[in-house]
Amino acid sequence: MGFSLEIVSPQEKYQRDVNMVIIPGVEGDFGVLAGHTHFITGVKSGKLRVVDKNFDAYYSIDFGLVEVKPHKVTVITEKFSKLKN
Amino acid sequence: MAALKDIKRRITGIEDLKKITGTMYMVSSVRFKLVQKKVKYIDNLIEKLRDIMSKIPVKPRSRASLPLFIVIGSDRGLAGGYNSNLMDMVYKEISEHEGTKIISLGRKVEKFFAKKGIATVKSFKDIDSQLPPEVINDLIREAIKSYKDDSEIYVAYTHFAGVTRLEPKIARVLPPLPTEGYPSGDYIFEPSPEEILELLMEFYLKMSIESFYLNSHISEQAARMVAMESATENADELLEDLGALYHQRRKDIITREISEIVSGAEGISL
Repeated sequence: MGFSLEIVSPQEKYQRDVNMVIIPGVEGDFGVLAGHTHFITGVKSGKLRVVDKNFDAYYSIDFGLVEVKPHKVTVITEKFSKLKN
Repeated sequence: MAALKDIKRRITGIEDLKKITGTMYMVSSVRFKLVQKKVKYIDNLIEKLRDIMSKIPVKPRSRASLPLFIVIGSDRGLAGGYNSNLMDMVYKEISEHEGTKIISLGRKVEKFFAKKGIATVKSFKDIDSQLPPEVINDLIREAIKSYKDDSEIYVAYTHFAGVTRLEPKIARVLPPLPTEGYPSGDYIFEPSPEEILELLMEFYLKMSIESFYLNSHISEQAARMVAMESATENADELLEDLGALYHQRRKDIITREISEIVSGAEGISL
């Protein structure tokens, strides 16, 4: 079972249903699976990993914040871009 | 009765004005299109950001502290009621809180407060479509300083909801307004809510100020487009009327001259 991931910056928006996401939080990297508890924390600049069936990609992201809900993760950052594997 | 020459002069004058209003319309519409996409993305971001920020529980500010108002207007006029609508709203609001600290953006805003004899903490002008980083940093610094002094922070700007729907608004930025239906008790915060707010304050203020500024900027362009379009239409109407008057006068003069010649000729032949 997956959940919806949304990454928002002032220049663009990315949305996708995924199985797992690993986020560089200010208190350390953490992984999110569907059904995660409500959670808010800061995001430091670094690599964000998005995993889905047949899909595994890294995104470089800037400072920002993240809100985790059981079926939705919203990351707000100043800038993000997909990294080449 | 206006002489033929005077009418001609007026026609030329109005034609020149029409050229100016037409050009101003074009300039505004180009600027409008340049920022249209940016506004869409930042509006989407700010809506989500404010929603999340509003779930972070914060202590209410002390009533005794004076609020800080950041007022975003324009440098230039000729934009219909763009500046005056906003200033009317702000003036009403700050009259209720005497001694409100004000930071103005735009020459028109600065002039308004000077005329009313209201002092501003800081004034910025000659800003184009994008706020320079030093202005943003300055605003963030002032806002954080006031917030730490227990003040609430407000931004007065014009929200862009469509070319003919420009809404002057006063938004409270800090502390973020709580949204209904999200009991923050359900949330886990890491680090603590106070520390998160502290950590995100600059980022949140930067995004908010950029979004309010972009909204104001696009509203200014939209207001000017509408104002210049109607000015150009008015010029067209005037030109039509004056053109008809000019031809009428010319015809009258010719008719009079012909009848003078005819009657003169009749006098000779008698």
